[in-house]
Amino acid sequence: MAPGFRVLTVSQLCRYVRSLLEEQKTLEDIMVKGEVSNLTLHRATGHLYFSIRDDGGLVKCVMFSSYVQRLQELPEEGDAVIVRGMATLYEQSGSFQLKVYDVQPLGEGQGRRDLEALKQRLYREGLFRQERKRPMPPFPDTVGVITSREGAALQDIVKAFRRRGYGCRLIHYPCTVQGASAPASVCRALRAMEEEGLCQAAVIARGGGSNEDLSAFNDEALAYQVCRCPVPVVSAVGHEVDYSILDLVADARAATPTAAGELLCPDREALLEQVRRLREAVATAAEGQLRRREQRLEQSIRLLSARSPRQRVEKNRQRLEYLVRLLWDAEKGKLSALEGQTLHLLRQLELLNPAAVMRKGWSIALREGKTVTTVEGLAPGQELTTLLADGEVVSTIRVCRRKEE
Amino acid sequence: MEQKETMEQSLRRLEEIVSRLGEDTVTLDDSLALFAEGMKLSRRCMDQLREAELVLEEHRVPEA
Repeated sequence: MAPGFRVLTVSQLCRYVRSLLEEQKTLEDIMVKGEVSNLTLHRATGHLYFSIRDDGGLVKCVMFSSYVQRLQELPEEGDAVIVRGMATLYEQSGSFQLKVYDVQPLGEGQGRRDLEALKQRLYREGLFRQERKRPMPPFPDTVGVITSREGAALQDIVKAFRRRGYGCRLIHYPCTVQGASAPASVCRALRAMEEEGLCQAAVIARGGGSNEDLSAFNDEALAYQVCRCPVPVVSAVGHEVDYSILDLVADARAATPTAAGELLCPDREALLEQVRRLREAVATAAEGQLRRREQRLEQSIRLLSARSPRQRVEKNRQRLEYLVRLLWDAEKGKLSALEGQTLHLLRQLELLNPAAVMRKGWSIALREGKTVTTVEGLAPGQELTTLLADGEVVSTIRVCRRKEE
Repeated sequence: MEQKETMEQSLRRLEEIVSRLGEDTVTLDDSLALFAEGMKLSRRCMDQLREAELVLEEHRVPEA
């Protein structure tokens, strides 16, 4: 080994090169553009590791979690980006790398393309399907308003409700609607409302006049949360040419917070009118019940009187009168031919009366209570009873003789 | 506190009363009771609509 050379340890060399790099003013705060590759988000620490490259080279990058959290969106593999950071050396592996503070998509329109891609994906997943959308409750008693404390949205909604005159409870869930923390803040407010479980509907609103930053309402997590929300959600993020993702996923979209209020708040006068109509209908229906019973009662009375015994008494009375008249007429010798005929028949019947016949000398023989008409079955020694006009004779048969033919 | 019936429930009940009163099978006692209930409920709805005030409150985030 040649004299004069100082032997360094690996650690010493690494530390030396690292200090050289870090002392370079020109490398202290640089912006580098390239394409993202080998992207890894370390789950435990939240640090982001990746490389940026172009045709001629590659630089390793590390982004610590505190910076990662400030990103509106994480870079993805293949993204063209501009990273901002300082050059350094990672001693443990002796690798040259950038400590990154910020990553921005390269070129305009990237955000828009990403948004379009997200819309497409959510559309394919069915989040915007019309069948998924729920109707607004017709008469909400409690409505959640998710918006900032500062904007005009809250007051616009309150005014709209007041104008419609329907007394109900509005619960304001304050959140941030602008800036990087807005998406998470809106989600949190919506979740708080869900957990409290008091509201029958929700409005997510942004006051007019604020800047055009809609990122809070184009958030993927918010889209899923609205989709899962147990009560219908109205989007009211101000009039926009383009629909935000929230507009597309919400159960209803209102152009302004005022319109959202009008959409949700029932009109008191219309409602009063409806109650009045129902009240009348109850009275009419109840009256109908009574009238139907009255009619039934009247009908029963008619039926009963038609079958009343008085009718029969009357009928019999008339017949009796007729007979009495007949008797009177008979007495007066004014019998009609028919009545004369009847009397004649009656007289004939009288002639046939066995009692009358017996008076002429005929008698009737009975054996065991039955009239005897033949010698058949009779035998000497049997008892016969002979009925005469004024009494009976009981005798014993001595001889039975059949008449010669 | 007694849970107040929602306007929606009340309106639905009123409609139900009207339809029950239209049936032939309701007894006289029931129809009188339904009538009384309908009158009372509709009166309460109207009072509620006239008297109800808009209430605005802010949700307080519970301390973590």
